[in-house]
Amino acid sequence: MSRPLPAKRRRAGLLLLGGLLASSVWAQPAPPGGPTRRFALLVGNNQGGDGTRPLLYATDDARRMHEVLVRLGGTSSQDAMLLLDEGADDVLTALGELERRARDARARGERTSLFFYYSGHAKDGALRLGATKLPLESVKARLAQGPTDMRVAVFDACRSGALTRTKGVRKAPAFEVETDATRAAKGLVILTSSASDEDSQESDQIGASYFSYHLASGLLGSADQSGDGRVSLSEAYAYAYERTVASTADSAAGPQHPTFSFDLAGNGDLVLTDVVQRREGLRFPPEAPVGTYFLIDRRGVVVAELVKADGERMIALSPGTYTVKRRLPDRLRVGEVRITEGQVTTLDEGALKNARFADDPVKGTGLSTVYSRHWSVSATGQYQAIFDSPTTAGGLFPSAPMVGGEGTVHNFFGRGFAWSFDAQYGWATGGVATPRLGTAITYRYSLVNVGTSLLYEWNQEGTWVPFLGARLGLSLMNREFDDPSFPRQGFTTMSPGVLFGLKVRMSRSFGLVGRGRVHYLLYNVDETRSLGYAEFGLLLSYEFRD
Amino acid sequence: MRLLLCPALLALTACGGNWSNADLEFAAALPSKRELASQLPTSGATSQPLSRRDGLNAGDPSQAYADTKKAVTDFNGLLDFFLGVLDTVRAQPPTSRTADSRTWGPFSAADVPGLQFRVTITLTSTDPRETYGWNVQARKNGEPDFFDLVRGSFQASAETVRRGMGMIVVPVKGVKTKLTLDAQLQQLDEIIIGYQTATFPQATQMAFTFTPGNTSGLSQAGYGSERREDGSGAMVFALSTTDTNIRKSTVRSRWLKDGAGASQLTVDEGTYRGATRVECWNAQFKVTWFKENWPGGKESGREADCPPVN
Repeated sequence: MSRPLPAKRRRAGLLLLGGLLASSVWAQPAPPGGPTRRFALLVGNNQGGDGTRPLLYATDDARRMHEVLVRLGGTSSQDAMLLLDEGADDVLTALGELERRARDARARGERTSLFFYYSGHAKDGALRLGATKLPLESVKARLAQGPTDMRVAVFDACRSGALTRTKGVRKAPAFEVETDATRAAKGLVILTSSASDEDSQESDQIGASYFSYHLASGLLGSADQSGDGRVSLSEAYAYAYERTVASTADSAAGPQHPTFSFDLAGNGDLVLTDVVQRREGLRFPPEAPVGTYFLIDRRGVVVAELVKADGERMIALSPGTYTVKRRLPDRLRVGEVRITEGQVTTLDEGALKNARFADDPVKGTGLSTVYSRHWSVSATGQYQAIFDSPTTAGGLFPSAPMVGGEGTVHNFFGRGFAWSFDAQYGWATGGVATPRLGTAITYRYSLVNVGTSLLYEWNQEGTWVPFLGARLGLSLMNREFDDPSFPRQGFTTMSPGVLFGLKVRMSRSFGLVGRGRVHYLLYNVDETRSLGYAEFGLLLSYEFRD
Repeated sequence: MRLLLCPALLALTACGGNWSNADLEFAAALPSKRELASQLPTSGATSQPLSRRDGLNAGDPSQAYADTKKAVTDFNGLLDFFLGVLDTVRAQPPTSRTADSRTWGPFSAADVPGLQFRVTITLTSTDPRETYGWNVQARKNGEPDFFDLVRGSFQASAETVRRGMGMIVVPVKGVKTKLTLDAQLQQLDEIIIGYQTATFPQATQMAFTFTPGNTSGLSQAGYGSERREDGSGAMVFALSTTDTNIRKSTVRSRWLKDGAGASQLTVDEGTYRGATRVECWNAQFKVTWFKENWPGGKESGREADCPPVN
């Protein structure tokens, strides 16, 4: 669990960095030149092109940061551009548009700032936006020469620390600024999620990258160490740094160290979010016990963590119902709060109820597993109907009931994309009759059907989860005639198809699924015929969720 | 890596097997030993000695039944000899297919080394009904050409290819030029089996054409078998004995489903040439009536105790 930075540590940081940063940020709340027009460009891309593995949460990170900045960061929705899975040209075009607006604003005498955020792949000295690349140095140069008075760039990407290896690089827990400065800062601050030799890690448990998650949580108020209701750049970075290092300390990839760099003139701190101005959220009164609180939304996602010390704290939450969880050494304290639009709700810790760790509403670090990669298994009962004449009228294959099971890895190829494997066994009795055979030759029919599917699930967190996908099946059909003078006959075929269905969650782990499949079936023994089959089934599924 | 798995799986698009309705049609057109065989009821009671003895009386084990049973066994044995390969082949999927034919083989048989076999059936006509020609062929290993071991033809009934009328020819004379046959087959030139299974009574006739100058002195011989829907049947066969009065005779036996039957022997060669002997037996294969019409011939039991065979 994180703790407030000790005063000594702050002082040490100030001694180390103060000389460099004394003129590093622009003053708040009353900067010279009047109010600041704030622009923001938020870029998220899960794809990194050749040689990279798709990320799961980069677009979610950008989306979350966009929501925080628009709601609390003083950036109008018109001046906040969100680019998801777009290419390099789109990023440059959007950046150019914001720069144009900034120049216009400056011409009118307004102060301006730009918050550039990127979550995605970076490799070989370039941001990787799908199949396109954006060289890091060119991005840095573009931002350095930008027309806004202040530029803050946040890069959440592997080895993004390469951006800060030159001037002003610090792989350090925090930087301090003078809060009583009167001279507004101008220049560029770059925050990166990891050092130049480190990977930036995502977490299935939190459904985000560690750094972006903690940065966003901090901006909601968790990082407000001063307790003034505003989260400054230095506070946000300090919080994100400490929490990121702590969260990744035990990971397989090793601890991840965010970095920062600066090229600034002037002084004063930059306030990134104002959590009290909106007067909407959850207030932790001074009498609320110190400790770590988790705020969990209705989807099961932990939207903020707060390490409360003495004094009052405020977390700016959007309207809705949240679960509040406080972790004690021997138990949990859990309860619900409702945030109403335009109102501040005060937490009554006494209203929280004791709960066992086993009843933790969210496991692990207390975060959603809905979007995490996890397994589910299902028992299946279904009926396969062949698109052909009845076998007693010359048709080739009979329809049959089937039973089986399947396993699915959810979110395997990215959020919502699942990969499943299934196997079924079917059986029936039938009779084959053709005009030449006359009376039917009776037989026992068996069918083994195995397959793999790629499917997309919508509304994973909801009660009703529709899905659609493609399947490749292998069918092994066999018939054994009651008249032993005829040989056993078999047919094996690969058959592509589509599947669709709807899952209804009956509990956290159990669900009932109605599913249909439609497949193409090629027959090629007596002749080449294009057939098909449809399967309608009911599945009882169990999800293994942490 | 994970993205590569999808195209790899899609590349696996193979299908195949022997699932064929047409195969069943061709297989059904081949004669079946089971359908052509004579079906004489038997029971444990027939295991008792059935040798001819003097003084046959009502209540004794029936010698006529024993003779009939032996004839049926020989008849079915011959069918097994000539058609067994077809039954074996039919139980396997064909090796190759065309629109009008199916072929099994070439294949080797472990008990016949040095030879390869092939079975082919061809749909030769569909007007007015499906007509098939088929043959069982063999060739010596290393030789290019196959020769016929057995050939046949079959015309399906109006209702189904599983019933009809057919003929089977065993060209023994030709086979002898290619293969070394056993002593019995060496005496034959040809075996012809005719059958009809379209309607009851179903019938199978087997005719043997002997090689001139063969040691048996016969020129032609044969069996006739009949099967009725109610399970009753009949068999006509020739009988040779060492009894100088009835050295050679023709036997016409009929039986009911429960095994009770009657047999009439007509003496073709011997002292009593032209004479007849009638013997009836019950379901326990015991004589119920016995009558010889030659001078000094015996009669035992009552004619009324004969089963109602026609």
